[in-house]
Amino acid sequence: MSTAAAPRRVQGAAPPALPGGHRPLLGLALAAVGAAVVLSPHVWADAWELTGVSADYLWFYLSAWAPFALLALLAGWRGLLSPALAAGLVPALAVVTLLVQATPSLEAVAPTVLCGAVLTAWGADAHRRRSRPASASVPLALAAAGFVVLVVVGGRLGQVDSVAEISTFTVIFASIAVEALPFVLLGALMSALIEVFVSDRAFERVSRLPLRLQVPGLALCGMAMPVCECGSVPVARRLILRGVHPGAGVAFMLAAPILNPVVLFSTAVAYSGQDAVLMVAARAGLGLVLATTSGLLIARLGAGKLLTRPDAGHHHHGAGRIRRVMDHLSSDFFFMGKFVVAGAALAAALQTMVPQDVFTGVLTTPLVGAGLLMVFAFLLSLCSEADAFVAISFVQFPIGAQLAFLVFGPVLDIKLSLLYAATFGWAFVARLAVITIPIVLGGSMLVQAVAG
Amino acid sequence: MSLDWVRVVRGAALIGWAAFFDWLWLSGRAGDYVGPRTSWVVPFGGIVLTIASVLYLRSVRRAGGVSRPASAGELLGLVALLAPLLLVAAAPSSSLGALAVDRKRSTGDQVAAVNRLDNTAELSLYDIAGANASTEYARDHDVGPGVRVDVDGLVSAPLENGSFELSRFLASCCAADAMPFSIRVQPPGDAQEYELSQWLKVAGTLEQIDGNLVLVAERMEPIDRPSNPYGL
Repeated sequence: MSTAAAPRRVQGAAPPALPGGHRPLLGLALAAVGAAVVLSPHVWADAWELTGVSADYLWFYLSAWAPFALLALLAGWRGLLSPALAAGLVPALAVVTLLVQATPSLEAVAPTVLCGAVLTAWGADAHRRRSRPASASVPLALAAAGFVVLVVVGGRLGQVDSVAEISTFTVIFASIAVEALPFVLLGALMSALIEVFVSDRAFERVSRLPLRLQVPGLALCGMAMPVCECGSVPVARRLILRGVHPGAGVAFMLAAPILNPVVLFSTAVAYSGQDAVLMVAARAGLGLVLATTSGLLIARLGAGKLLTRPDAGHHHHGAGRIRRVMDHLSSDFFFMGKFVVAGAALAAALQTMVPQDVFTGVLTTPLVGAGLLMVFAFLLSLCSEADAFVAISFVQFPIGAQLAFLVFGPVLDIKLSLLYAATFGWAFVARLAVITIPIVLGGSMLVQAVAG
Repeated sequence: MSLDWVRVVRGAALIGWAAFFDWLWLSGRAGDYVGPRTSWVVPFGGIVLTIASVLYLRSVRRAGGVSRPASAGELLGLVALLAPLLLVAAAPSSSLGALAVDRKRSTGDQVAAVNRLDNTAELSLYDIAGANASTEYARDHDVGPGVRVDVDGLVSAPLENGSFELSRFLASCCAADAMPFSIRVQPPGDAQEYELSQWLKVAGTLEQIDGNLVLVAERMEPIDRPSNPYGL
């Protein structure tokens, strides 16, 4: 019997990244990809094609290539970065490098920043490998590569090949994020305060109420919560986690962005001088009916395990209240924020690539117009506290269609779909769409009939 | 000091957003992203995010010796959350331009939007576009042939006979809902050609040509992008 035992891997030690003989190959590959990225605009950018490859630009080429060279050194020749993470970093470096090559003012700064990013990734990777042997680099690399492929393929299909497209996308993308994130933070703060400061007894009292009272009661509570749709999701999630019936939590979540005083006030201001009372009353009424009906139907269809992620936060229950508030706040903010940003990116991409007159100029009858403006509300992903100012600009559409825009948008749009899916699952999104679309269409037709 | 690295990274992301809001607020560039009506969101966001960052960073010390490495999902989420900042840093500084005018061109009622401007100052590009859309608006606001105007806007499209389209956006909330207003400008004979999205100050007289009010320019000069590109 052989006594030679296989060498045992020490718990927590870094797994071998790559056989030593293959490292130079990986290093060469990374360096070559970097060179191809840096020089590629000579093939596809008109301005670069005209100037051609020139030794005059050697310093620029070298500086832009430096982050890739650093990556090749760390992952290839030195074996200090896992090959999977290196592969994930390459497309990210490529995208940033190509973007920056169109921005002369950033040419000098970007390589330094990117080198810093590579070193940070190396540090984080080393920390992770010391802490946990299981590799998280592969999914990270695949997701990063997938994102880049999506951007590149989407960009090519949509002919996003110039500075104007990138610039327009960036402005709209950042503007939606700038508008939404403070409200996500506010919602996360309210959620955290509820978690830390409201006693279990209060939630027990609410959860003991019969469902027929609990659902409309929570929907009406939305009137007192000055949060928009991005903020209402974490609050509703927290209510459900604390024992409120999921149907009632959903009713609150749908009602708050429509019924809250800030939204109703902005609606009144936008429609001042023309149908303000009718529009405010119709928006509040249809919103309340929609939220209550949706809550009751979702409860009846079975909402036992609505939350996909019960509570992923890492909280220290023995810690002080401020630390606990900040733990819950950050957990909700980072969980929700990334989906709001992803939704903003989709909405911005649509606005950049698809001309809006595709959607207007035809089909402005009440029913089709309402459907069209609901599609518009879904795509635009506007904040409910300002959407009335947009709705009023659709004057070629009848008032019922404008109402559909105002009620449907705060309930279901691109960014909310991603947020709902992350919180409650995609089945919930589909169920919500099936419930809300006929209610909004029916309600808007009714108001149209009343308004004449 | 033993640090909780997940908290450090999350704190850094919060600081990044707080710094971005503060920069927008202090540099006056908030107008590139949000409209005048909702510009309060920027100082509000700057203050609450800064406070949240400071409070959060107070807790970066590891509690109870527990070390929790960041998962791939968490790292990806943080990258996604910071993507707008990365893009803003990488892309050229700008507001919506000629491409956005083209994409956002719609049949929306410009008169209704202009009526809500509460504009009591001198005639603007919005008023001229509103007058082209409604004779009633033109009559109520004394916009018509022979009126001298001095407006600014961005070059959004070349038109026939050497004329071009001058546009401005009006946003209720942010750049996502900004609506373009456009007028035709007939430049003087010796005028140079300007690139798309170039901001211009144009002075001249309104004339009725082909049923529309056209600004016949006497003087045109390039200007920097204003701090409020989506409002008055």
